[in-house]
Amino acid sequence: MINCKKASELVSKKIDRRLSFSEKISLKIHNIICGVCTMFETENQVISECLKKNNKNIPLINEKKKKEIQEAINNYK
Amino acid sequence: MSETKTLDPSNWSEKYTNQLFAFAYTRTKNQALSEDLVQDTFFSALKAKENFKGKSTEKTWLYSILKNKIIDYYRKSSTKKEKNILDDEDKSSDAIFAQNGHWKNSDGFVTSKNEASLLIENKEFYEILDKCLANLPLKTERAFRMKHIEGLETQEVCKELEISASNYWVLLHRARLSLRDCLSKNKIK
Repeated sequence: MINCKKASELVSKKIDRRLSFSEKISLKIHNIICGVCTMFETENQVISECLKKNNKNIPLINEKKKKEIQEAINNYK
Repeated sequence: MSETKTLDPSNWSEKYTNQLFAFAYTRTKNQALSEDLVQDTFFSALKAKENFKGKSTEKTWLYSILKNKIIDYYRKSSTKKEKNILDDEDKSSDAIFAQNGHWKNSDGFVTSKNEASLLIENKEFYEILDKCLANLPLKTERAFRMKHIEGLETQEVCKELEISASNYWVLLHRARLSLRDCLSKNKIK
C-alpha cells in the first residue's frame, strides 16, 4: 500500500508521462481511501485549466511606447 | 514572395512590437521586463544587421533574437538562486509530508468537484495563482509555465533549461506541491 507522498508522485507522473499498469492500480486503490490525494488530482486539473485560460489575457503595449521604441530604433547608430 | 527577406528597421516597432511583446509576456508575465526585452531585441538586431543573410524572414530573425534574450534572462537570474535546487529534494517534500508519508496539511484548496468548477471562473483565484507561481524558485516556475502555459514538449523544455528529463519531472512535481500549499494557505474566504 503506497502512502500519500508516493501517491502524489504518481499523480504528477500521470500528468507528465504515463503510469504503468501497476502504478495505475496503486493510485486507484490509494485514492479510494484517500480524499486528500483524490483532491490533489482535481486541484492540478484546476491549475492547468486556469493557466490555459489565463494565457489569453495579454496586456497591450501602448502606442506611445511603440513610438518611443521606433524613435530609439531610428536614432540608433 | 509575400514576406521580405531584407531588413527594414524604419517600421519595426509598428510591425513587430505587439507580437514580440506578447511572446515575451507569455513567458515572463512581467510587463516592464517584456517591454525591455523587446526593445533590446531591436537593438541587438540593429547591431547584428550585417549578420542577417536573408535566409529567414526579418520576423523569424527577430523572434530568434528575442527567444535567446529570454533564455539569457532566466539563465542569469537562476544560477544564483537555484544552485542547489535539485540537491535538496527531500528538504522541500519534508515541508509537505510527515515522516509517515501523510500530507501535513490535509486541507487543499479544493474540497469538491463543484468548488473546482467555481474556482476556474473566479478572477480572484487567478490573482492568487499568479502570486503563488511567482513564489516558486525561478527555474521551477519557468518549467511549470513552459509546460502548462506554453504547452511545450519535454524535450524542448529540457533543452532550454539545460536540465535532464528526470530533473524536469522533479521540478514539475515540486511546483505542484508548492502551489497546492500556497493556494490552500491563501484560500479565498
